[in-house]
Amino acid sequence: MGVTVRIKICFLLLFFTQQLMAQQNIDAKTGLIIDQGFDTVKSECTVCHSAKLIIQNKATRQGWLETIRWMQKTQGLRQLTAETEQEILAYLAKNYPPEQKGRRTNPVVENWYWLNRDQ
Amino acid sequence: MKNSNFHKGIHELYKEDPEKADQLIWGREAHPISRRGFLKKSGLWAMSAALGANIPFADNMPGGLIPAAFADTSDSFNIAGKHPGLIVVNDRPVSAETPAHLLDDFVTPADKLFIRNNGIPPQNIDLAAWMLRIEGESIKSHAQFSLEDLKRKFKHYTYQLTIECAGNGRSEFNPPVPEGQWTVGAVGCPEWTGVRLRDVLESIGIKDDAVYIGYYGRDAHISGKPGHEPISRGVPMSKALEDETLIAWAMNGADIPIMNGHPLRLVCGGWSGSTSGKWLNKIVVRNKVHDGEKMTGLSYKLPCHPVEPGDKVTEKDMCIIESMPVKSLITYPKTGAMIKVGQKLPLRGHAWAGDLSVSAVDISNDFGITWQRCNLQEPKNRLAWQHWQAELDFPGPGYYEVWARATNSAGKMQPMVVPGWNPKGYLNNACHRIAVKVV
Repeated sequence: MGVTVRIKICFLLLFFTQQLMAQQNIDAKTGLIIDQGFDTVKSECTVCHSAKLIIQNKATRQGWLETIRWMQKTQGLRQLTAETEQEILAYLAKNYPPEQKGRRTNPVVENWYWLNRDQ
Repeated sequence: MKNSNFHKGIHELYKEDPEKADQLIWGREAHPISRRGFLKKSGLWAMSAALGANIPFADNMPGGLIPAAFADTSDSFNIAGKHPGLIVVNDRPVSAETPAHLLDDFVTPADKLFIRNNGIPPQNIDLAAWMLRIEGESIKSHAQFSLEDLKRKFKHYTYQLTIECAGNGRSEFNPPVPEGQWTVGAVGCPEWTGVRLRDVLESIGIKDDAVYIGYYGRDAHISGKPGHEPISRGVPMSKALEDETLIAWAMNGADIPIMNGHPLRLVCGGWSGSTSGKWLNKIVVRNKVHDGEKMTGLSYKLPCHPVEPGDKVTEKDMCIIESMPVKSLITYPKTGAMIKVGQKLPLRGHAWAGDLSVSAVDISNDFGITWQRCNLQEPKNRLAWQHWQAELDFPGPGYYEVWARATNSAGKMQPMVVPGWNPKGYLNNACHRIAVKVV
């Protein structure tokens, strides 16, 4: 493979990677997925807790509903209108559903590094 | 892969948006005026824009904190002396865990001890005015002690004691369980100095019908509602009266960090961290199991009998967690290490076993087919974690995982897969794993 071909492939890969990242539609400020209901979730939820609490947790629609009820019962969250609640639940159930993790996932390695024995 | 973009260090959080981080970390989201009033105030437009949101909790929030929220915090901001490598698990209330490789010290330094807050820590602490009240139906008379009284009247003890959040490892449960998604780092083992809870209670007189102690602290409920306790848990008298159960004012010879309970806390080593009350200002001696906040419902309880993953379990079928289970960590090397073919891999870490001690630590680099016994040290004192170290050979190039498995003094081992699912995601003591490549 010639050098020019390799460079072209690199550019293509870069292009596709950027495309992929753009398609994820992640809100830069909150890290939330931009989808139907995003604005409502952002305004109702992230003012009192970090979006990380949403993103880290995964649940079914019923699970998210129970979380809202728990916040209302114990954390002082006010009553939401039926319309708002439906919109939030639809957004959460679609974008943050439970993942089938099994009994253990593969370990996550962010950086491979050479081990210096003097460390 | 999961969550890695959102597992941000404290400094990173502040770098991105110091005002919001300050509000989140210190609970300074509160605004004394209504949503409408807030939105009409042009001077506060910047905050509204930064939050991009209205304030559904406005009614319940404590006022008077806004000026601090707008203080210039963009310069190197520090959260009460914590290491920038800590991972924020939740920011309201603050929870942050320490990655395994930062827990390498024999004695956990103050800046590397995890934070698990249930409420908003007190501000403006007046040490001279701080009082610890002793009350409850099973103490012979009510009493109170200033910090000075405690230090003057009772003998001081220093112990190295392991504290671990009962939810450490929750992120691995399947189906997922809400609340803080801890991985492995909600544990630490600093040296604590204080007086024995037993000495203080016996100086007043414990009634024969005493069964439990409960603590109260000065932290505020997250909703800002006065009269709500964020957490008030406790331990049975047998644990309360142990030599190592301390009312502590110092950690590693210095003041306890504010996020870890300054100026006074309980330390019940080897039990769920939630029993070691922070910002301690009252202890009650009870003639029944303490019924404070998070003693009831499903909090800090396991199903009395094992359940199928995802089952609903009612309160009457749940039993209170006492001692934490046997567990270990590989603190060196950090996961992701690459070595050359033929090179030995040095490894070390800690192991602990709740009320018991650790009798062995074994490591495997072949997914548990063969195990190699490690060198294991005695604990510095009862309820302190124990250090282990080993050197591993690898049979050739490739991808490996090193697993560590501790065995307690009763012969119980860590499981290699995630143990019994439970509704609140407690006590995952599955063996710790690091990934290694031999190139």
